[in-house]
Amino acid sequence: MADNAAAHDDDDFQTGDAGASETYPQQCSALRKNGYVMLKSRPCKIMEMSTSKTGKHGHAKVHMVGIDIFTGKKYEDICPSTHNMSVPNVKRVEYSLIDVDTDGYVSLMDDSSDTRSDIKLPEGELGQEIRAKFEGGEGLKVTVLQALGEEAIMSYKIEQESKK
Amino acid sequence: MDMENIRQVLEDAAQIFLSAANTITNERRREAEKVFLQFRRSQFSLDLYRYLIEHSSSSYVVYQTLTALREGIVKEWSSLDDALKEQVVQYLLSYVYTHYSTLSGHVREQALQILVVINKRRKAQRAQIAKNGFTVSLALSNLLQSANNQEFQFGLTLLNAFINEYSFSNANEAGLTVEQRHSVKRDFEENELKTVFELLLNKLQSNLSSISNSSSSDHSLFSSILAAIEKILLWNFSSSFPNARRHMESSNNVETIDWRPPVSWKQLVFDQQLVEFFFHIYGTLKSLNETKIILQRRCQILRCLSQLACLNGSLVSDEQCRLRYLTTFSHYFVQTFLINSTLTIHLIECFDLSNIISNLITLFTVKGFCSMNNDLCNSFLQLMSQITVLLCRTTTTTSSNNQLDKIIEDPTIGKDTFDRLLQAWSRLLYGIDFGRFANLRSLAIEIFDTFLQTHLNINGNYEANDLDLIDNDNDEDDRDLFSEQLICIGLFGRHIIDYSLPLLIRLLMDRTKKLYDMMNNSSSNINTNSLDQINDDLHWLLLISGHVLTEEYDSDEQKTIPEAVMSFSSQQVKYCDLNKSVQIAQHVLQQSQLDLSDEIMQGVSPVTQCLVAVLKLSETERLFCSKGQFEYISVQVAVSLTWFIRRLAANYLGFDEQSYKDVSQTLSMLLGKGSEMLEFLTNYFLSKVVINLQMWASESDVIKETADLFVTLSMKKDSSLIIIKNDLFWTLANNVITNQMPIQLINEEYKRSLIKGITCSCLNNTSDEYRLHFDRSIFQILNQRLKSIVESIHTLLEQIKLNTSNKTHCTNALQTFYTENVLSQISTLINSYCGLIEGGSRCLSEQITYLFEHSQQTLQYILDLFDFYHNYCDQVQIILELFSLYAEHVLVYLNQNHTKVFYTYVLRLLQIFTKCNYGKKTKEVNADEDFNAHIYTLLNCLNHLLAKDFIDFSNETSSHPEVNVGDVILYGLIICLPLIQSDNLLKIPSISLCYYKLVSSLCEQHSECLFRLLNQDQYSIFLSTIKSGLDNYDNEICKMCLETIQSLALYTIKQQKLNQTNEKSKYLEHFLDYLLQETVITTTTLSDLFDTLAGTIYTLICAYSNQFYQFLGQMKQYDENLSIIIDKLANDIGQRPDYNRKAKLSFTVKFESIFYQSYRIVAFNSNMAWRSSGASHKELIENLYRNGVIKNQRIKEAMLRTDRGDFTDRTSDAYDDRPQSIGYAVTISAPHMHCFGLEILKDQLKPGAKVLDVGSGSGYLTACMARLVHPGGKAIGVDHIQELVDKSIVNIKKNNKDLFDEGIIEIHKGDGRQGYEAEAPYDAIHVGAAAPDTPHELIRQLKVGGRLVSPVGGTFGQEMITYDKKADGSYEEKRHMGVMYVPLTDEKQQYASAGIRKDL
Repeated sequence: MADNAAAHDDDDFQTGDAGASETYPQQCSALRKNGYVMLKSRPCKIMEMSTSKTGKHGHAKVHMVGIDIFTGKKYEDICPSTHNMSVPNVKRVEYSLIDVDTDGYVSLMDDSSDTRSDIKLPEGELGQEIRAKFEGGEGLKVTVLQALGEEAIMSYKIEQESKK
Repeated sequence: MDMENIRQVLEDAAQIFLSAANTITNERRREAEKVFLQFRRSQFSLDLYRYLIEHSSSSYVVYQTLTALREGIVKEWSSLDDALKEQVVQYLLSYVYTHYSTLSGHVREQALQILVVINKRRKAQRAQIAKNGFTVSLALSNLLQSANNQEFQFGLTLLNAFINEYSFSNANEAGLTVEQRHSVKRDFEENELKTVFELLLNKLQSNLSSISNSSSSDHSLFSSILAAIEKILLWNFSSSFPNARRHMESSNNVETIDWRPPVSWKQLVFDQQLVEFFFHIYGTLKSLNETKIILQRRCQILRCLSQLACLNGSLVSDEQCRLRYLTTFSHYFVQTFLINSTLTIHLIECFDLSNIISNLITLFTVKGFCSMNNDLCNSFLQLMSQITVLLCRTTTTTSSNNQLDKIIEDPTIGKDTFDRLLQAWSRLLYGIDFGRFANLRSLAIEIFDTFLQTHLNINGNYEANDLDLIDNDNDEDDRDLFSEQLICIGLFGRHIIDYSLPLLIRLLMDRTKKLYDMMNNSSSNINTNSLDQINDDLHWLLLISGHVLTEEYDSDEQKTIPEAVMSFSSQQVKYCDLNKSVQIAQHVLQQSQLDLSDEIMQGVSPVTQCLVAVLKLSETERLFCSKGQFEYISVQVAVSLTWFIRRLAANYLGFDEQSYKDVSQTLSMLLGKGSEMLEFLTNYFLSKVVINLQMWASESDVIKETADLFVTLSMKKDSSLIIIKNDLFWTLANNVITNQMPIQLINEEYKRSLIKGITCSCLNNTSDEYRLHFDRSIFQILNQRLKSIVESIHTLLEQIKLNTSNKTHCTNALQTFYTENVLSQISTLINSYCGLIEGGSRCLSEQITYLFEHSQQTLQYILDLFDFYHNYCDQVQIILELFSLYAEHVLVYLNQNHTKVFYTYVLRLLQIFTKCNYGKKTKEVNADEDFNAHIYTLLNCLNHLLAKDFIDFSNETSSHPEVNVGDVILYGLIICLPLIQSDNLLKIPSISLCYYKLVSSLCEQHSECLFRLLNQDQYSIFLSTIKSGLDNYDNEICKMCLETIQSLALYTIKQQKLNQTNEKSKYLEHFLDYLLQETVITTTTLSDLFDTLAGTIYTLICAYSNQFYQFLGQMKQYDENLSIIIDKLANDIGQRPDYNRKAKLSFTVKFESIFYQSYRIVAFNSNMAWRSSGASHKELIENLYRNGVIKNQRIKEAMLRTDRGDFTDRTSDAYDDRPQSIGYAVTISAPHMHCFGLEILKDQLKPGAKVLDVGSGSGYLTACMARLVHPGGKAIGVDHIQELVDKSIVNIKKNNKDLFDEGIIEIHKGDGRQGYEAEAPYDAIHVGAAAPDTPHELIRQLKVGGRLVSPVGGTFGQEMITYDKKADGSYEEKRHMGVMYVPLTDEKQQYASAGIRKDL
């Protein structure tokens, strides 16, 4: 854990490299509700955290219930509070939506005008709404969630003209 | 609609309503429910009810019918005649009696309740009713005297109904006023209840002998008598004092319901020796074999006795009397349970015995208790302790060997009982003169010992004793779970402190030594069982010692050393060597092996010994950790130890010697201000904090206590001065600020507490030195970190925008800021600022201003982060929290400039938040809840902003702030209202409460802002949220909404005075209508908020008086009976009401009476059948006239000339004011409905007019109408049943042949829905059957200015509606009352439904 301390050096922020690891270790006791953790090798958001003891005088164990951030599936785990857990790096990138093709693939453009078109619309209601809104001529921004190499569109927002 | 049809409809509905959840849609279920609601609102008809009760196979229908009957009786009480009520009583009594065994419980109860309601209403008008008749009360006492078992049981059930009905003193079910309810309740208590109680006691006496036969029927009879007696003993008697006082008294002690029979019960309670009687029965039971059944009866008797122990009120108002009663009670109590040693008390009985004791002590007070003679007191105390010890032993061991005790199924009962008994002890111990009772000390020792014994392994025989350590299902900490017990045991311990403290110290040291030895002799296998037991002992010893040495305080109270400890310590001074006491404590820390044998401890003061023992334990713990022998120490003990130290630190460290009469020298040397040991101990406690953080970083329970300990040390001035001089403090501070190990491992919540403590320590003293230090090593470091992060982000973003060559590198670098590691550091950083504010808020105002002055740039940076991380809910949440904390704690101290700056930041925050969230839709996990939390925090923040108006600690005196808070908040609201609206967030309770709180205080103080800043759309959106608040929420929110409306109306009034009205001021108008409708017509839930409601209505009236008078006009039309009330109201208010407080108050008073009067009229009118029946036609019409149903002389004459007897089949009830069947599934309407039809058309029914009667049926009304348009007019009747047409012509010709002769009347066969085109248009059209919806074709056939009256709606839920045709062909619609008519149908259907009809 000593190597974590290095992250406090301010330079660390500038030198961040592209290959930032997909997960980083953290002790169970420092995890918190609403944070992220790997459960059963899936990136999960922690919905519930409770501690129980191993016997009345024993050490604390942490019971976690997490929901897979991509699939919504529920996972549980229990481990000693001193145990290290993997925390996934969960990133959100906002793109402007520039096209939706018939297969469901979308063309996206980021702030620096780079484009990509390797992501599909999400299944279900959200995807349908995005398509409908886009075809209705509304300017949309979508947020892509990334973790452990997996990517998916998780939300959209109608672009507003700035009102100032 | 005939009875059989109704029965069928109802049974179908019942079937739907009762079917299983998954087989039916909610929609259908609601519809079915609605059918019943409508049914209950329909006309009262005993025949129908009887028919349904006797013929329906569904008990639900019977139940609903009985409900309808009850409601009908309540609402129409004054119009129902006595004979009918008598009939109902007789009928129901015999019905229930004959079906007693087959009826289901709720049906039976409903039926019996009706009887009691009648009894109650009769009581209310006692003066008018002769007492000689048969009454329900008489039936009750007859039944209870009956030797027949079933009759007796029936009597008990009836009694139950009585008790239920009379005890709900607040329910207005019986339609009585408050005073009436009060007086009938008292009457019931003086008469029926008393008689019944006597009867039951006699019955019990005579059954006592039979109890020894173990026949089960005897037992069940005995048991039900006892149950009934118990109910009477639990009766909440009406107070002879004014209500208010009663409420105050009872709120003091919610748990005990005292028993306050009126003076008239005196003979019953005292002369008959009620108490003795019950103890006697208990004695009889006791002598029998102990079977389960007998034991149950014994418990019942004890329950009765525990209620008798609550005797209070006028019977024992005299001091002598009280004492005599208490003495008698205690005498028998002690006699039965203590003296008689052969008696085994069962655990289950202990529950009631504890109640008896606790009730006696609560009701008769400790003082009263002490005035009994000494012997009795001593015996009583002895018995009490005997039970305590018994309970203590049994509740802490898991299994009881006694079969009989297994009746207790819920194990928590044992604990609750014990808690309750100990509470009684606490009360006693606080009030009693300890020295007066010789044996009290030994009893206290016995109880204290027993408690220790049951919680510890006192013999050191660890292997053998198998205490239940396994019970870890329960997550709750022992300290919370057993707090009641621990507090009381602590109290015992302080009373015998010369005994308890040395004992505790000895045990503590003994267990610590055992633990220590165990580690040193560690063989390869640890005996975990005995280790656990040692740890468990230590845990309990710490808890008990902690409670002996300190008292429980509310968090903000000044903490002190208990007097008992102080005086004990000063008594001991003479046996102590003071220097040794000080030395020994320091020794413990230096020499870990130090054996604390008795010789060493000789002469050391007890409190020091205790400290030493605890320090020793703490050192042992540290030693284990340093050796890595974590398996030896218990997390639980670490928690309890830290807790103990915190309690000690809070109460003892640097205690104020001024506030004690008798200061112990030892204590003042050890812990007094400025003493050597104070510094030593404080520093040790600080090191304990640091060590705990290192050792237990991953154990949140320990860290929680540790953080609390640190905050305690920081908050106390003396100790905080000591700790900031310690290097350890600054190392800790640095670790916390930079989030290094081990701080990294602990939860954010505790980090915040630590920062709070650090800030508090540094800023809480006047010395500049530490403030500078704080600035340098904490504040600036945080600021720099924040700055560097924000600036790096800025640079990177900038470069990316410029599209420089190293763009890819920059993009990647920027990605780093989204890694979890950095994200969590950001959270920690912001969290640190939160801690800073929380700590600063405990300090002086200069300090907090200083914090703000130096954090302006910080807030800007944080806003940048807010923008950057807007997609990350955790970071968003913590930043919002920080702003909310600023608003809550800092804002009040800020001067104008700073305030302004802060406002701009808040607005900026809101802008960013809205920009990022408006129109956003996401399927991320849990996103909704996160978003709700954000909104909640934001609203909270705005609420805090508003508080600046009330409390302002800034040094400025200027009363004209440059920026108006109201403006800021309103801008805020404008920004976030769309968000709140679009997601319907007001449905969430916490958010809605916050929102309405905000708007109500905003409007109270700044209503002008709303008018100034909101445009019309925004304003109407705003008002719509208020409306929905009124519609959807509970009283609290409704009240706030009403206040909001009131504030806005007030502002409107002001504006009107200045002649500055605008479009927006109109928007409130509809609230006046709405609220008046709510109160006067629908009479709703708002009645609880009467004062606010009346105030709001008055303010609205002042603002919109025209509107108000218009409304009154409408009301008069709605129901002319309201006219008088309304005129009075209008008169009271005057033409142009002027708003002032006094007028508002007097309006409130008047409005209340108007409110109740109109309520009665409206409720009455919706059910006004049966009221005007007569024996002849003339009598019927006269009654109708007298009752105001007929108002117009012309109508009266017309009706007098049209004898109803000519038009009905049966002459027997031709003149009853109710509808009657005339065949073909139709009825002749009730006379009052005819009157209504004629009255409402009276302006059109003029001589010469042309009128149409659709569905003329019997022809009665057509004849009346013809009479009214005579001469020169024409009345056309249309009906689609040829037979009815023929019959009606015959009927009319009987006595009104002249109408036909003159051609004034015509009856045609035809479809009424098409009207009668040949003679159209008409001045008036009356429809005698319900149209499904607006009858457009008929309206078309009206003349301009003509009026149509028709029932509209389905089978149930019809309303009488009038349509007035205007010149432009449109019409005005007005609703009148709920009615029940046959539907307008076609010929075929009519015959069909007539075909299935059974004749009655």
